[in-house]
Amino acid sequence: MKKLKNKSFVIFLLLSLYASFSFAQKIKVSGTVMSELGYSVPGTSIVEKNTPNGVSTDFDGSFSLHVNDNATLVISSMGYKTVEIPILGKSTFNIVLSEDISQLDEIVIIGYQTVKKSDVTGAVSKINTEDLSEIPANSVEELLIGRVSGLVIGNPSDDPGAGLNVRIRGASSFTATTPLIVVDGFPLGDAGNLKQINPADIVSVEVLKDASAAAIYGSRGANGVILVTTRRGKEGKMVVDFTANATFSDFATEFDIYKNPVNLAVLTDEGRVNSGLLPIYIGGEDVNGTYFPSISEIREGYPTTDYVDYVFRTTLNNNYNVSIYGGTEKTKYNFGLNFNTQDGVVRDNDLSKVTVSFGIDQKLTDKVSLSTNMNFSRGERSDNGGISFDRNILFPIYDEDGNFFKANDNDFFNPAALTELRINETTTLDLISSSIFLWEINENLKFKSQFNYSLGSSFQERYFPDTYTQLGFEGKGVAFNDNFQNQRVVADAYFTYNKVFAEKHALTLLAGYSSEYFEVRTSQLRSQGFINGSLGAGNLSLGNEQRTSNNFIETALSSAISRVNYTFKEKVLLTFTGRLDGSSNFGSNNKYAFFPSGAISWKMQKEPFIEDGAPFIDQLKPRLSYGIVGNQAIGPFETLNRLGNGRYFTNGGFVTTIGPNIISNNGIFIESRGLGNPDLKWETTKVLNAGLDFSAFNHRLDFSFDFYNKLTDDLLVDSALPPTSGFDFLRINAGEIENQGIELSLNYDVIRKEDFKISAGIIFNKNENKVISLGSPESTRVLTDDFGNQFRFTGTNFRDQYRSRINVFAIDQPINVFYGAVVRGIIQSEEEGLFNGFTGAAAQPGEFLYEDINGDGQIDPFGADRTIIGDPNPDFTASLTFDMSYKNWELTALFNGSFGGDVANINKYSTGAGGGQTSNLLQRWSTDNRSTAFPSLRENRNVAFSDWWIEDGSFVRIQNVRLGYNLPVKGIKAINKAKVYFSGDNLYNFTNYNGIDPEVNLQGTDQNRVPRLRRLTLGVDITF
Amino acid sequence: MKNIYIAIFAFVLVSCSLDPEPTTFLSDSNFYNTAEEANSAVLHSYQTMTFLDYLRPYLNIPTTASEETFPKEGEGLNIDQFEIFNVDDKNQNLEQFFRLSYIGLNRANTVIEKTEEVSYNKDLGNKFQGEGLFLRSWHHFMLVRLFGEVPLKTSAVDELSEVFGAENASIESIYNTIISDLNTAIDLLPIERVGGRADKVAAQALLSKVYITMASAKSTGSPRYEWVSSADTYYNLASQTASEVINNQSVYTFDPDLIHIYDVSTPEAFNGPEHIFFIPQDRSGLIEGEFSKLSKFFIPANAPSSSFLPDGTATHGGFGVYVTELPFLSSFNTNDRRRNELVIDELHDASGNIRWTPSGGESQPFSRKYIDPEFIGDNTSTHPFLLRYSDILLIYAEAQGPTTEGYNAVNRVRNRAGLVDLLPGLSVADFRDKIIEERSFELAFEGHRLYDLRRTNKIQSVLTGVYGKTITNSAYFFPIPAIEGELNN
Repeated sequence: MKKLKNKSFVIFLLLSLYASFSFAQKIKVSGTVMSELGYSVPGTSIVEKNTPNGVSTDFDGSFSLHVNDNATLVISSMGYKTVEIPILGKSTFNIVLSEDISQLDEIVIIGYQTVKKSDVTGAVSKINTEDLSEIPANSVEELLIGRVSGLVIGNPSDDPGAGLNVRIRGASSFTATTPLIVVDGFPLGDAGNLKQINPADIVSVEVLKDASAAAIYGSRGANGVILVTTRRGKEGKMVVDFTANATFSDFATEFDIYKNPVNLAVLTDEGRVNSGLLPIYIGGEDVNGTYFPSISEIREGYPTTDYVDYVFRTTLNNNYNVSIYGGTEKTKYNFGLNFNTQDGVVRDNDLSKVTVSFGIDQKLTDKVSLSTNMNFSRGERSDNGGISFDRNILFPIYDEDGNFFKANDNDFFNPAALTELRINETTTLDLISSSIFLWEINENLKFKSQFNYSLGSSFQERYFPDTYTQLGFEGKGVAFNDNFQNQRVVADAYFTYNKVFAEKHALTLLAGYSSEYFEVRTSQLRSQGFINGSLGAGNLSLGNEQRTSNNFIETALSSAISRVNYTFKEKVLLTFTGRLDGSSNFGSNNKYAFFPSGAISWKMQKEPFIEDGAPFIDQLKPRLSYGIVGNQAIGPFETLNRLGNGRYFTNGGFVTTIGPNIISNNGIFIESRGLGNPDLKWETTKVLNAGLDFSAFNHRLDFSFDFYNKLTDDLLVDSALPPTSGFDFLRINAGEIENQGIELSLNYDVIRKEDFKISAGIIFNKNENKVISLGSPESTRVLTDDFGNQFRFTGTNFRDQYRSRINVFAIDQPINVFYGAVVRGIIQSEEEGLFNGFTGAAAQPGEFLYEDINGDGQIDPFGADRTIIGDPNPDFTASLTFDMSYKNWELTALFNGSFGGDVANINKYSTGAGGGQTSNLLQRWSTDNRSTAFPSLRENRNVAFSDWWIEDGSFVRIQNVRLGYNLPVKGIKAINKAKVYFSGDNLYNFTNYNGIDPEVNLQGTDQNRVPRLRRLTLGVDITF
Repeated sequence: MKNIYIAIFAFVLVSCSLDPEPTTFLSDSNFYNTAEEANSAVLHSYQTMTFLDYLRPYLNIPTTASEETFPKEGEGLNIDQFEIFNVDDKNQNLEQFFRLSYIGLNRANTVIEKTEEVSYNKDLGNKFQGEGLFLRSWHHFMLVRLFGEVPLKTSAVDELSEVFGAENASIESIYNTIISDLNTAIDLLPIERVGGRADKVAAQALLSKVYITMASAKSTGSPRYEWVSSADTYYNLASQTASEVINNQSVYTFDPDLIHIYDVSTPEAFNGPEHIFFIPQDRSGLIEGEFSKLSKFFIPANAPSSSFLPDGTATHGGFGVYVTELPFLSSFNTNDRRRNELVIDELHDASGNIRWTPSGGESQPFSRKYIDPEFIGDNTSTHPFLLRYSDILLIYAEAQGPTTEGYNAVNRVRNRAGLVDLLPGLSVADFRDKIIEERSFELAFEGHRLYDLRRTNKIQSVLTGVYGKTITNSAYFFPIPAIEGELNN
């Protein structure tokens, strides 16, 4: 039965496609469509009423169409009033459309409901992304950079398929700061890498920023919500859109590592000699038997290898896209097909992806309709990331025998060996589907139910060969098969009731429920001890030792949702929402949470004193809202005591052991968890928002302003436990953070003429973030220093470099501030060093002169002489957009900037074969170069983290520039539009930052040594 | 219309429970009930010691903080600090060892609490309880010798309220707990040799070391042992307890074959007669810790990646992290087989030609106590030897003093090493000094020397006086890692 249904569905579909291709008309009509101002209106839909037969006007507003002789033409265009004209035997029409102001009022999705943009009471931004799909992007988030006020997106990596840091209005949590992403009503999880959906299928994105808007998503709304809307079919003639582009990528800046072998040898030896070690570039073998040429040999031209050249390549990536959509009054369809490659600049580091989407909207009866949507994507990734580009340039790729060169037994870093022999391939498969049932029970009452299902899976094959990889050497060839699968089911059902009472009280009620289930299954097969490794991970049973492991996680969420909208005389709008969430992740003592919100706004433009007094004002709408949202960033079962397992060799074999501690690895060392916390609950954020929307001069000027205050408490913290507890970490609720800020967006159409338009927009976000509390002293310990700072360390532990973490959460400070010593300069003489309280090697000339900031006469840059020395959070971020069109030309530009955030340049002065930022090493202190900011080179220096490593990370980036040309297609019947365009990404970055790039992670620690990419794209877009 | 209702119903039905049962891990409420479960928990306690956070510092600290070895250049401050006795509270070796010791204590305490009353075989329950007490003593003893006053842990942490507030216990109370725990363990444990597990003999051996530490520290005036009531009392207790190991059992015995002691190539040798307690690792393990790279820490970095010892034993190359100090090697008697055969001065190829000799600097003769001829790549079955029969034999001699029994004990060790009997007629003090010296040869590179020098108050006289090392701090106790204070002020 089910099969049959599928079949008839397909036949039905084919028929409707056929119908739109068929030509059964009798007479030809033609004409032009103009606006009242005398401009032609391209893209106007001309449809023969009650048929799927129709065309769109071309660039000059002309059309021609074959119709029945008794037909009526329906002429409609966005922003204009729709007109119907019976042809009555005429064959030429000059149609004039009048503007429809009410149609300019877009529809905005606010979660389970849509409203007119002018009726929005909360802080909601909408952006139409159709044009942006010309920019090649892994995910839609990348296209939103700098385009929505309050939404700050950082792109810390150019790796194929890498995710982004997405934040709305600052970080309101220590652990989870990422907004929820919802695609066509389906909550899919954290924003940042929505790779499953083809960006070209997305038509608009709404960002819910305040509690009034986000509270409908309850315990997941605290970081805001991003609602993504994909393309649906429209009534009218079939539209076929084809785009193709090719993107060329190269590095935006130069590598700052050793390129000159003489510098490498001289500086390395200098660092060794200053440490009391013997020089190594003396023309002899080291302890491992590797020959190191003398400096004079190098000067005479000892062979070198350009590893940057070996490891990196310039790439040319392609992106092809086909969209087909159309439909009749009863049936609408959309289809999308995308293929793209996202090959990385590292050799053999490849990614390709196919996405297919399909949707259909069918009216079953006058009152009942069904919609369904399927999105399928498949990716293939071959990962060769992380190979050494900074290898000693004096090392060859091959040794004399033609084998891959190893500097010693444990040299597992030859990039050529890894590229040739190591395997790491992943196939991903993602399916997202939703079905919507809509029943208009009567004119006031509607029922809607949406059923969503997603499946994400991946299969990864890895092989680590013997001799050239650490793991492979330990296990004589080690192979893995990793399986990953997640499934999400979300079912919503709700009623909406709509009624206007006494012509002035408009009421909308929404009530319903939502239920969600999510599970992740992983399994790993591992095999090692391969006599012959040529099959890689192809046949694991060939290995001598096999081991399996698996994991399974499930979570459930049950919720009741409700919203009341009340409008008085179309002027004053009130909204109340409430959501009750019960989550399986919460502790038994806190199972259910309620998240209410309320908002009010006033459409002042409807008041007589504006209508009459200042008629140029299109919109003046103050808004005020307050509400509570939550954040449930808890792993399942963290409320219970969990036992872990290990293996122990006894009685001649390994046996499984079970007991306390869930162990995870941190490098070669372990981290232990597993102690349960039955009191765990959601984080609660109280948000106050006050805003103003203003439009004037026929929407030529659009302005929006918001002030907000977000107070988050019961913060979820991975609390570090004292070692004597036998555990390293425990998840607890502790602490309070405040975010307060303003955001502003301004858009102005400077020139608005028929064939010449210029508009410019500014977005400005300022967020001040402050830690109010770190929790009660009973549950978490807070450090106090001599300066009254109360803090707790967080972030990466820089064990080798600084022997400490460098970020802290400190009370009354923004999150993640830097904590360390203060450097006054460089010690110029031993007397100066001793006089200032240094001893031993630290007192020698050329060493860091640390400040005795607590003034106790003792210098302890690792301990008491540390304080808060920097703030990685930007003071404000801003972006500028510029759009221009002149006749057939279009030009758009986006500048994106971040101001006042500090960045710790971790590689500023690192020694080693590659030499982190060689330009700095060359400026080292020496007796001949005393007036430098850089210390002498000393390999075994005990370096404390200090303000010396911190730099201003402000930047303004030319994020994107696009130039398009619309080809004149007037004479070509089949083609409605043909455009060629050029798009450039990351064209230039204006910054004083001296590291590779100041756009880094949220902790502001820059460990990147590979320059950012610049991407140049050439594309065509043809609509049939 | 009916279909519509069915559709609605189907959508509404998809709902799920908010209390899903854990399906991939065990919780402490549903475990430890059967003998098998308790047994796996006991093994889990031992397993703590196979983490690299435990294994690395276990030898890093005492082999470099002594005259035995210095760390290879570039190994980092965290190990260099021990060589120069200038150790701070951020030292990662100390931090890791401290953390892992308490993880081990928590696991041991869990075993002790969960086996107090058992529904299965009572003897089995006693054995598990005894093993838990042994491990608790082991960790407390390591901690008190490294750090002095540390928090004492005698109950498992299974609630949030038990996480904070640990306070340092006095050295005396830590020793009192260790002694009481070990005496109970001795009562509960059978004699039963299983490689990698402790039995009655292991508990007696450990207790004799505890007593000798107290006795010798009191007798020599080693810092912070003033509270010990009387040195003689504890020498007697040490002697009695060691005597149980030496004279009252026959499962663990003196291995007459010097080389065989350190052989791990066969299961029989791996579990050889001397080994009362050790951390078992096997070359077939999947991750480091399950297998061991310990051999490579001693084999110099410029040794060939594959070669043979002079007696034909195969070996792989090394990292040379611990570089043997020549003055220490010169302190051996020229006839001492432990210098001449257990320290390697040349490596051969398959046909017996010399492939490698020490070239100076970081290329020095090296110990062959950790060589596995059956190595696979980097993987070996070498491991630290925690309690060895000869160790206890020398403790017995030291406790006895220059009695016939005492002389007999030390001479067994000396004779096996190819040395003549110890000079008769020594005074008690001289005899005991000679035993400490003998221990430095017999137990060289096994991680004992630092503790022997500390308990006999000889850090300065030996390391500075004899070997000319500078000692800046931490001669007798290392600082408790800062992280403990930072998280538990």
